[in-house]
Amino acid sequence: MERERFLGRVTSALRGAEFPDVSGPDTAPSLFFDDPVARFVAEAEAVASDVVRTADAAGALAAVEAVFKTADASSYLAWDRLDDVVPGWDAWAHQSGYEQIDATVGSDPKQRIDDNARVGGVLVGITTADWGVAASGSVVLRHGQGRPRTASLLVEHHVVLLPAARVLHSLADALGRVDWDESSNIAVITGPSRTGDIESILTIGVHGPRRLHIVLIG
Amino acid sequence: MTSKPITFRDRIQDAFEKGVPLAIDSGARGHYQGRLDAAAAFPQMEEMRDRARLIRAETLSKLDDYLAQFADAVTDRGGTVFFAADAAEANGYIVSLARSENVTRIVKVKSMVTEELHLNDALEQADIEVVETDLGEFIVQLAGETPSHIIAPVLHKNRYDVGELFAEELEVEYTHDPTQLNDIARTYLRERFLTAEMGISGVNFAVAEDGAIALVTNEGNGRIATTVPRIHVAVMGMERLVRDRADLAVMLEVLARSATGQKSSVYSNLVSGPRREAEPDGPDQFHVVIVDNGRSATLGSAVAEILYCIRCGACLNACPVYRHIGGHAYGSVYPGPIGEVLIPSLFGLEDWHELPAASSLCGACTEACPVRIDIPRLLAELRTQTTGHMSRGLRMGITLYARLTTRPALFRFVTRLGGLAGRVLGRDGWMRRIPLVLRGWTAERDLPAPAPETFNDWWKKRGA
Amino acid sequence: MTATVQLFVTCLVNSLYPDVGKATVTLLERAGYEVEFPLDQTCCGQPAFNGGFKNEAIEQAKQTLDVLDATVGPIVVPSGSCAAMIIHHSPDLMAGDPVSAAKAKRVAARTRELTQFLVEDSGVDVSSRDCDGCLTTYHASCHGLRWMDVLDQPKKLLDDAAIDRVSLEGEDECCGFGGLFSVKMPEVSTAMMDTKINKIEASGAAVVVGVDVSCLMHIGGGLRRRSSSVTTKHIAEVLVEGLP
Repeated sequence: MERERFLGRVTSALRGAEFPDVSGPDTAPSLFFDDPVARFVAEAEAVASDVVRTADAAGALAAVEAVFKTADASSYLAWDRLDDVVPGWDAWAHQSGYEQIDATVGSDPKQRIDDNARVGGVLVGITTADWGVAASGSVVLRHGQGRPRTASLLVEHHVVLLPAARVLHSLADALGRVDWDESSNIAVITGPSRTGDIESILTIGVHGPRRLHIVLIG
Repeated sequence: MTSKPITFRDRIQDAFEKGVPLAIDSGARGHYQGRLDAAAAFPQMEEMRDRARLIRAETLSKLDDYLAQFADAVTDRGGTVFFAADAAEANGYIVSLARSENVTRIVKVKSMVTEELHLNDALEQADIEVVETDLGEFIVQLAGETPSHIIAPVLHKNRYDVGELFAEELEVEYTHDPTQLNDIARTYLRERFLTAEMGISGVNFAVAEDGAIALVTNEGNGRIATTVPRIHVAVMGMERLVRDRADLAVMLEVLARSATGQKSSVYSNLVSGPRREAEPDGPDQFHVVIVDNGRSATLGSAVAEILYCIRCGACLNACPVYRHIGGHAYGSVYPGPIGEVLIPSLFGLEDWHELPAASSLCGACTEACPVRIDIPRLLAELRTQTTGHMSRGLRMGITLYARLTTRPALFRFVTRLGGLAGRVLGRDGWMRRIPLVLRGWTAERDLPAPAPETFNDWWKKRGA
Repeated sequence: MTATVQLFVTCLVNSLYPDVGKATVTLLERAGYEVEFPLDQTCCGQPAFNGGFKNEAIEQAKQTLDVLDATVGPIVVPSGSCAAMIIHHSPDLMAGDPVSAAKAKRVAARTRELTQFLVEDSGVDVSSRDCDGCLTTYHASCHGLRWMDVLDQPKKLLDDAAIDRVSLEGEDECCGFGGLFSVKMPEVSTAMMDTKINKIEASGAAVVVGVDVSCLMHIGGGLRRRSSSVTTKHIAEVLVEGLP
């Protein structure tokens, strides 16, 4: 149906709509925590995220190394510019012996399937997050240039390198900072993939990562 | 098209004969308790619900403007918008897109609106493989069934059913361990994700200002299906809109808590257009199909409020009727209290006149609804249009009683006669078998006989 | 000067449960009120309203409003659902008619459910109504609970009267009555009733107490068909007569 006709039907329907009187607050109630970082950690752990708190880059690198051991992985997907959040990252990556897999996928249909096969089997993905959300223990990832989505998605272990200063109080705080010009996708991630579809029994790791490691720095 | 009901009574009979699985009652109760716990742990819950209700009311009151704004923003960001008047148009668009792009395999994210459109049937008829990827929907698809709950599609099955189904259909070794069943599905579906050319999702909310859609899942299939295939098609009922991200945040706060008792779903995925020039991954094409399919008629009616619904399923979990008969008895895609209003509104009361009657109007649904939809009010409204389908006896009974009660002297006289009759008919003040309209009552219940003396008569004597 | 209250007794109490009306009068008098009973009252219109018979419901609601608006003082109703009809639905039904709408608004503002009135507005001495070995449980009728916020008031009255009470699992779940629903969808209605009755029997109580005779009639009819030893009683009766 043409757009104008479709919208015209909606407009004329609205003339006959019988809505109830509705009252409510003009703005959303705000969420605020005295110690958002502590709250973030507690909420993240409550949804089965593995949180490591560390004071510095050395601690963060050690935490990443530990994930590779746990995963028994030799390769990984990663975002660019992780050196910005963990100084020394580039040097570590260079000498670690683990291979970074190119996450870029092509637009040609056949190329795409081949690229998917390459990316889809990688066990570890390493990203930062733009924000943490204290209220829910979520991390918010803006995907874009140098920030592949699959690094937080197709892997078994997703490692998030998050400076503690980026922890905000609420989801509204984080979404308010989104800028679409740099990205076409935002993921708000709250713990590892899960389902309760079979008899409401909680099962971890359905399609997304089975483990979410949050390395909280500072 | 939506299947025509045999009759609701037939399906209820069928559900009782088969025995509605205990899983339905306990599953629904589990979700119900989860919502209560989540609300109790969230001091802002009630205020957030009030805000959410107001957001829905304000957005719908200017829906035409927001739809136009949304469509413009999607187009600005390189996406394509298609407006579909009905299921045929929506399915037609998607099938021809798939054909022109040589798509042979589609991965799909659980979406109520595509269930409503019977999109899978249309794709399969065009020889395109379509795989449901939500674990519950995958199970439903393998079994050749339909979902029995909005957010828990296989509430009607237990782990043994799933184990047998997987063993048979996927040729794997039998297990009823949920973790192993999960891993079987993960492996099977991962292969499909990586080789599909198109991903189809629903839309939980569409942000008018941004031209973005929000898609919420716990499993991650919502992100994979909209990231890995090169084409993403998002299908949305036209009422899914919110104005901006601040409003989106409110809706997400109430949605997860109401649906599953979570503070946040695991993945809230916001998509605005196809991947940008420099992005390493993500779809190259982004299509949004905006569906009317009866919604504008509903919007223009006395039950417009039903379009506030955000599809959390909380009313199903709270509903004692749903818990006793299960989702399939409703005979259509939206079961429970929401379906009792939505289905007749979208698809016509003539075919679905029984659904508004399937409620005791107990109000548990409204109490649970994150946007406080007054479902009993809407049911009473729809019932005004279905009285013609009631038995003559019932209609006459109501009409006669109304005449009687608007004539006080006559009312006193007849109720006094009733007392005399009660003395004859009753035994110890109770009656066991009543014919005609009250037959349904006395099949399994006794009915008190009228008291020998009405209160009215007693009062007059007392004053004398 | 003694304050006056108007009793709207409801049609079910009038014909089927006059003892509940009598007990209500006793309670209100004990609370220090002079009770008036407008003789021309009949039915609030709720069954027709819930069944979709809007015109009939409007006529009945108008009749009720005419009778009640001609009186003064609080209007007390020994039923949560009939009170909800007068307070919430009648004003909606009168929306198209300004005179009746004003009347509905006035009457709604004066109307109270019995236990609400006794606990929140007046206070009544219900002490020493106890009896040994009589165990009650409370069923929260839906309309009283969800439209009138009646839950704690009746429990407080039972506790004040030192009447033993056990909690009922799923006390706020519908018994399956629902007016016309009980005869239009008897299979579902009785399935819900069976669930309710199973929980009542499991509670160990001898008496189910409620604030609405309609639900008690439904539950009681099911208990009796089962030849159960458990009985039902309206809270007014329990508070006035004691137990059993």
